[in-house]
Amino acid sequence: MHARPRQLSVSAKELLILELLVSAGEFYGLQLVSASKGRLKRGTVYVTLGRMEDKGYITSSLDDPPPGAGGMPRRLYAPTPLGRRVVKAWTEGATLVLPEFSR
Amino acid sequence: MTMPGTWLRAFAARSCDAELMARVIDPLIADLQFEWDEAITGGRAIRAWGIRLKATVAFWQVMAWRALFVHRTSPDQMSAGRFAAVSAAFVAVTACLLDAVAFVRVGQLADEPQSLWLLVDLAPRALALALPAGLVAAIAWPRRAGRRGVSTRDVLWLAFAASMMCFALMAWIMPETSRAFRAAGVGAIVSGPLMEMTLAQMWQFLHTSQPPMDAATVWTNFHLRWAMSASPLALAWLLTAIASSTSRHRVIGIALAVAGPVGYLALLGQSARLGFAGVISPAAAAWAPNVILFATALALALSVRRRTPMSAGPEVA
Repeated sequence: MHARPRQLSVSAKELLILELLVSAGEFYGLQLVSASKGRLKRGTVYVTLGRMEDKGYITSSLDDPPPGAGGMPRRLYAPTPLGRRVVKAWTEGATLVLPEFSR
Repeated sequence: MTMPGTWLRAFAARSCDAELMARVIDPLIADLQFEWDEAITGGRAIRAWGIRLKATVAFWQVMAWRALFVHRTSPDQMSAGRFAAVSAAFVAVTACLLDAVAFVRVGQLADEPQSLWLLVDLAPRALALALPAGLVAAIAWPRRAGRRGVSTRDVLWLAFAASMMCFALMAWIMPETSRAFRAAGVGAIVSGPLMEMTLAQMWQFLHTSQPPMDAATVWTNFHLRWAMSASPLALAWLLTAIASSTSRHRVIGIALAVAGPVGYLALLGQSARLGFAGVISPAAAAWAPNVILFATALALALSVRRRTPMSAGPEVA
């Protein structure tokens, strides 16, 4: 039986998150909200990040709080190699189709 | 000072599974606590309270998303949000069809060509009839697609919302559109004075010092509007009872689901005629079909409960 190839889908918000993560390396959820300049919202970013982790685009790890600081450990997000390839493919595809929008 | 988000987290932990807590709720709370701690340490108390407020709003957005699109009583059921969307789609299609059919029918009966504004005049009535039919279609739909369906709780909540919408249509919106249609003078009068009265106006009309000539008609119409508003609840409860008693016979379940609203409307039409004619009391004429639906649903639910072992779960749809 042949395994069905996985279909990759990426929404506009997921692409934005991937671009931010690829450029910065890793971010906390709240840092993504700030870096997006209002395009990402607090109420939805964590849900989107969870979905992206299911798709294999990002990975996350718990970061211990700095000494003296209170609060729960924060979750740090970073792109996976697949996530980096998705961003690269999307950017190259966009450049191919619409060269005037290349960055 | 207690870290913010502690109570929110405790609340979420009572209903969310461990995966949702770890991947969505805990990161949100952790980021809130970090940001709040930073603001307090920097002496910015007002900013800290602003952060707390924004994070609380975000938390409830996540909980609403979970209730609408994630929570399921069993893995093969539709979420409440998806069920509401499917119901709304069926209601919209059914309402458009009923509106078009009524428009064509009135055009055949009237002596003059009808303006397209008649579609607007007939829309509230079409929508009121479409609400229970659309709900029933949405309940039957997942069973046809091979899924178990939706949870009884979601069905009854949506039926309650549909009943409220139906009531608003019958009580206020339909009289308003009927009056506007007549005042615009764009075609033959199709409604009549009764259809232009709100429920409050009908109540006052019925309790004037000089009772109306045809009290049976007015009282029947008054009770009909209340009874039709309750029909989505009655039909939804009957349908979930049918679904549980025919869980192994999907075709029968779907056939009964379609026959439910059609049968209800046929029964309502017949009993309304008796009420208008004064043969039976207006309240009995209007409410008899609902009582029959509720009694049938209760009998089916009791028979399922007698047949089902104690260990079976509560969800039937």
